Amino acid sequence: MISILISDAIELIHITLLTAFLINTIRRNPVIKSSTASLYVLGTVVYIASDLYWIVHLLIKNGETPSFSAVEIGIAGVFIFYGAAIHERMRPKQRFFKLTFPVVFAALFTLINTICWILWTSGVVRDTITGIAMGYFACVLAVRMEELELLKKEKRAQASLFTAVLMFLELGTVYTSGTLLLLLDIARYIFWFAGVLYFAVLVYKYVIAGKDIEKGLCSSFAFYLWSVFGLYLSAGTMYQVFNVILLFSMIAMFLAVRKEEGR
Amino acid sequence: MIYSEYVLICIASPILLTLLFVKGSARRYALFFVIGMVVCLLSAYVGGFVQQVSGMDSNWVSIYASPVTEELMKMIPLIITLLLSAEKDSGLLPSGIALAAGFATFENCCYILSSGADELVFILIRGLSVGIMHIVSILILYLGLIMAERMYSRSLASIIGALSLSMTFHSLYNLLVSEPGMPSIIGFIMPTLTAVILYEPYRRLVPNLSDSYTE
Repeated sequence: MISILISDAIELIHITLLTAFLINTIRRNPVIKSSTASLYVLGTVVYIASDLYWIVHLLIKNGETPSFSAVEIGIAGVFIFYGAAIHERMRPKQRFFKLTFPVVFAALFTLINTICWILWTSGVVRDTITGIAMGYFACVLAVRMEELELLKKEKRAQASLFTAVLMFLELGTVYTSGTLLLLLDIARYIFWFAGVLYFAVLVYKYVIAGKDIEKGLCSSFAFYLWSVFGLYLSAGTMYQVFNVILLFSMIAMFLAVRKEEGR
Repeated sequence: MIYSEYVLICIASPILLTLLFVKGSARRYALFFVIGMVVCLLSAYVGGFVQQVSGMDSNWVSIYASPVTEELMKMIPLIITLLLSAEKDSGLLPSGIALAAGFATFENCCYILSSGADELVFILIRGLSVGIMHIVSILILYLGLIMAERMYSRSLASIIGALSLSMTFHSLYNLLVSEPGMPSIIGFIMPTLTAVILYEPYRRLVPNLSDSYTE
């Protein structure tokens, strides 16, 4: 019950914050000229609507989780809009996906995450819908990160190893119990937080301290996606921790979009 | 039990007849009004199919599945119109509104026939809120498409994104009105409130709607 209340409170903070961002973005730009900002606004509206739906659902249905609801549709919409916002900024040649390393890497990472969610929650339909939308967003970000050299080609091996170990740990937590589970749990969170730290540094470098708008946009959206991946594979207290991290990633996205608009 | 197909034939026939005598925007409005009713019937079929396949009760289907199938079905004629017509976006909105009005009208007719119409106040509130809800969901879809048009193309991503927004709005309405008491009241007020909130972005994005409708 307390967990639901905390979760509700954080969701309410999300809604309040996002509504403030939305009003601010629209007020500053009566006619939004940037398509990235337009898509960010649309994604944020869907985010607020699906969050609101979830809170109402929790209140009306007393915490019961349906096998499928509008939340999955809404969240998929958020990923698609945010993904399109980054997709829009790619070089025209890159807009059509080819089977390059970043695309395969992002698709595989999302696929394994989706398998973990399905194994964990048994919600095949909802996890597949979310997984497909998230896969699109992840592929766009991976391609864009390499395009902007946020992730250099030389670092491909390290990035692959990092995520492969993380996914191995994730799958391990599904099939183990007792002390081994605890150890795997600790290990996987170390990896998740290392990722959070990596993206937080990028956000600080390009959004807060730096002036590179493209890199700022890409790193803040990637920070958001990483937080969502972490959130979906967490439970209990760690879920709330990732919910708070998600809040910071939203602030980073808003600041990055604001910088882009001001250009 | 009601025979929805017969109700549809009965209501649509006079409107279809008018198509022979009117032209331009009036004909287009009447046509999309009938399409809206047909879409409503087809959505009910799809809903029934989902109920059979999922094994869930009708209440579950109306709260969780119907908003998704209904919005998807409503979007299909709009997308076809958008792809086939070379007109500017503003021409699409009257068609969308007619479609939503036709959908809501047929849904209200079926509701009244199956549940009775002995409480005028409730029927008025329900009829109005369902009507506004369907129009607002189409408006959301339309505004989403207009904003997404600023991208390099009307990509699949922007269309799916706009669809998800209207589905979420519709689901929230269905969820609220499914629960008696305060949630229902909020649910019935929500479409009107959303319409008021949407008025400002609508005015900014579609300044020449009246011109497009008197083409």
